[in-house]
Amino acid sequence: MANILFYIALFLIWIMLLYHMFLMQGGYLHFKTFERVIPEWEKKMVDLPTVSVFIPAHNEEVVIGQTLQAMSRLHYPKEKLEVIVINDNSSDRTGEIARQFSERYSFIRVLETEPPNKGKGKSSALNEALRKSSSEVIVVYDADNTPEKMSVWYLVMGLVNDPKAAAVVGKFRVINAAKTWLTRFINIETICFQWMAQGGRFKWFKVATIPGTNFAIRRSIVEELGGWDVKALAEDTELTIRVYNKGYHIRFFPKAITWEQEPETLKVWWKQRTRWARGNQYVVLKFLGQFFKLKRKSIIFDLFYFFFTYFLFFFGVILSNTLFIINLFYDLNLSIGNVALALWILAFLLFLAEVMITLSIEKAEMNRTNFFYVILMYFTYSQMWIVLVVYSLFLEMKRVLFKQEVKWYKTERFEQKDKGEKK
Amino acid sequence: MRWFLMNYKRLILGISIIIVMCIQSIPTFASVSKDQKKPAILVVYQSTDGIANSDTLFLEAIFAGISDQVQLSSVQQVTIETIKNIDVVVFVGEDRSNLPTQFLNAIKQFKGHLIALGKNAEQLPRFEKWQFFGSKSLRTLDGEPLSKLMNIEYVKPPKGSEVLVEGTNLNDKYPVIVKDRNTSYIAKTNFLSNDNYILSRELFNLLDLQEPIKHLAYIRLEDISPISDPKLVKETGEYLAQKGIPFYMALIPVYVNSESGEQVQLKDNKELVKVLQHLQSLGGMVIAHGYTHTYRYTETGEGFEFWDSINNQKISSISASDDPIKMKKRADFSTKEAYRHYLGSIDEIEKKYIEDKIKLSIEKLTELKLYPISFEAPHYAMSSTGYDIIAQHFTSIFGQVQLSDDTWKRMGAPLMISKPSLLSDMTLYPETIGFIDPSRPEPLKEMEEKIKKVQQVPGSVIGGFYHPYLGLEYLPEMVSLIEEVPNLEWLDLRKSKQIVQSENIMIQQEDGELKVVSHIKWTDKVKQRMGENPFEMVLWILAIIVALFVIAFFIYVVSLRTKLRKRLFEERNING
Repeated sequence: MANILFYIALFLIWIMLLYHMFLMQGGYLHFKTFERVIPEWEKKMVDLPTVSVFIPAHNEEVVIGQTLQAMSRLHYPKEKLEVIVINDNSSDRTGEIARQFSERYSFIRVLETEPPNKGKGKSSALNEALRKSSSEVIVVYDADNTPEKMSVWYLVMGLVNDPKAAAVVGKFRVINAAKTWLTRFINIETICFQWMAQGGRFKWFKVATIPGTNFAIRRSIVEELGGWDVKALAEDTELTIRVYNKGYHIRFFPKAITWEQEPETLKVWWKQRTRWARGNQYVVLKFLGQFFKLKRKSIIFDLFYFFFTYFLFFFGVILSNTLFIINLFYDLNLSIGNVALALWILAFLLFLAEVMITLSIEKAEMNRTNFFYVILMYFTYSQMWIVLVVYSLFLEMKRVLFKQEVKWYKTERFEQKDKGEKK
Repeated sequence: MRWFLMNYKRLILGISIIIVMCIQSIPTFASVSKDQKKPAILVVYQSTDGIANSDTLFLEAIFAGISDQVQLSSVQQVTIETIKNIDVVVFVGEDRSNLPTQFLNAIKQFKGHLIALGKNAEQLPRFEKWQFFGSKSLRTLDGEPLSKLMNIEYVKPPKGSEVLVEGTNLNDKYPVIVKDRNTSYIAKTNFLSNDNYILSRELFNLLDLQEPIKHLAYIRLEDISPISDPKLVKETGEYLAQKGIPFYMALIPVYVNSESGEQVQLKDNKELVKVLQHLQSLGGMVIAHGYTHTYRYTETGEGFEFWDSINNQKISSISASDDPIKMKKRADFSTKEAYRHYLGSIDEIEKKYIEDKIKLSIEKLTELKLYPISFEAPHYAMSSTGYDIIAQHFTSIFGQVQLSDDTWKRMGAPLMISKPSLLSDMTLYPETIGFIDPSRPEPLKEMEEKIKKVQQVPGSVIGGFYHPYLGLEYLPEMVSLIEEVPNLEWLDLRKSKQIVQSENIMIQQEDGELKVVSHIKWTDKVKQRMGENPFEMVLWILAIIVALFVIAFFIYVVSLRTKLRKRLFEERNING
């Protein structure tokens, strides 16, 4: 019995690890090739589409100024660009700061949400802006983002040159990486996510997850889909699946870069990630329910990936850990021999190698400090995920059982005084 | 003078001690003393189907105990030519019928010892003066009461003959073994069970052979499997080693759990392997006791391995998961040819099955540096086909002999070391005194009785086994019971010549030296492991693939690092 359970655990864990290995290979290939098309693509950047940049903001006084500063510097013909700050029920100076910018820059405007959509969260704020704008392309940024000058240009470049792409997704980097041990971990994690999950999936399946920020999407498609799902906690994952199901692909174009803040304290991190995890669990359950109705079967792969991440993989890890602990006190007579040890070591080396590749892609990230953080990460940060997923599963179950309404938790922001000072 | 006398006495004493020592150290491989020439014996059987039955086979085995020149032949095949160099003809009459003239003519010319058993002896010229009266039944034999009536042939021997063994029924006495110079008659043919002792005891007398004085003895530590307790094995083995007793360890390389079908390999019980290697170095000799001690999913040590005990038939399917199929009978076939063809196909299956298991058993043990020098079939059960195959790999076998291809229940052991024809030239080290069974009320007492009985037969082997899971609870008493037998010598196969071989391995035991040559290829090992634990093998393949990717990934890292300097700085560098 213990043997069968152990093999099941091993099987679940390694399916996941092998898939990641496969993605890493794709991510690396994508990195090697994605820039090659740019000279050719630049030629088509003549008759440019109109672009609306949506910035949903709810009590963002700490960061909004900085964000709009970055927006003002965007490289894009100003007559074709509008930046819309969607001030959603803020009780602080968000609206005031935004208005100051709108006065200074003609292409920036502020939109106040109105009842009944007021204070309903990100999805409904985005829907509001969708209704009140008319550009051909929509770009979304979170209120804490400072996109690089060329980012919108590259996002649009992707859409112009790739008619099959419903959306183009850029890369985000962590602005406060060196601040705390937590942000260091998050920094490493996001770099990995971008190149493995985004880069790898795009390379092999022509799909990338639309993140909450730094992406461009065609208005026609958002409208066709009926806007954002207001019930979804993770509106991005949800949108991704619907877009993909329509038969479009989603391009990951890491040339478009934005810098964003990550939680500096564990408490904030915990709340943010719980929302993500629950959001993704919601999506998995929503779409697994309509499994056979999905038009594009290849999305099943992606859904399955989520299903694995949030259900099976963790089940496997927990099972394997439990067996390990029981075996310390009570001999389970596991028949597996050295191969288990070999696989354990390989899992660690694989993790190390994958993280190191992605860090190496990002130039200065592959340094000594980060190397030790990567090793530490395997035993700490990565394990925290297990607890988190279990916790969020518990919350989701409670929600379904007691029919609770979802509440959108807005991630707390931290003031970034001077980026140059950070070490 | 006094001084001289004293020294003279000492000299005599010294010489006599040396002489005694010399006598004791004469090797006693066979029970017959060396200077006497072993008689050439021909066992002739007569049966309706022309095939030797189990009684005949057992008789042949008993005679094989006193001579290494024993032949077995059907009465149809005997000619003047074939018995020209024969010293003893043993005629076994199974069914009442007319004997072929060719045989009668040959016997007429024959001048040596003639022993006739059972029926049809009256047709032999030498028995002209004997009177036969058909079957009678006995209630006692050799002074002992019988639990069942026993059928014998009633004979009146001629005057001057000597009745060696006699039976009674109420007031009537009947001769059972009779000797008239070089002609003898035995009134029955079935000597399985206790009658074995009587016949074996009288053989020397019948053939005018000198009775051997010595008894060889052995103790086998039985059923040592991967789940045996290393402590108990160590305890029992070391006890025997300390007493200077060469002992035997019957090893089963794989344990099969009857419930899950799960296999445990001996190599996985590292402590036990160490103990066994240690005991081997102390003089413990390894006997390959099958491979799993199971056929299908019966618990290791409980099940038969080379016999289908559920259907009581030979092995008829290779895979353990196949349903046991009852073998077909002659009546199921329209022609004899079809039936023979069918039997041939079953034989092929059985051969392959046994061949594979034996190969694995030898190789698994050798891999662990435990070198088998002999074989023992689980429950001693095996068909004649099985013995043929075993004989290709081993030169000796321990235990008893299954005498029939139709049932494992016809089984027995002659009391002396022998090479019965059924065993295709293998030497049999017979198990004669059983084992300590703690479920019996008085296990030691039972063994004592058996030993007493066996030791009455000159030159008999006192062979028994002991389960190490019993620890030392009975072992010291068992040893002292055996050692009470006068003129006892412990059997030491290290002094004998043994060869054990498989396709890739050759183990030679000769003059106290053990030579091992092994040519197991790694591909074979991989194949084997694949069969044992395919899942683990898949995991190893997975590990190799992952390792290759890890290597590739590290190469990417290195290549990225070297190209890093050449790349333009396009992104902000957050870390300064």
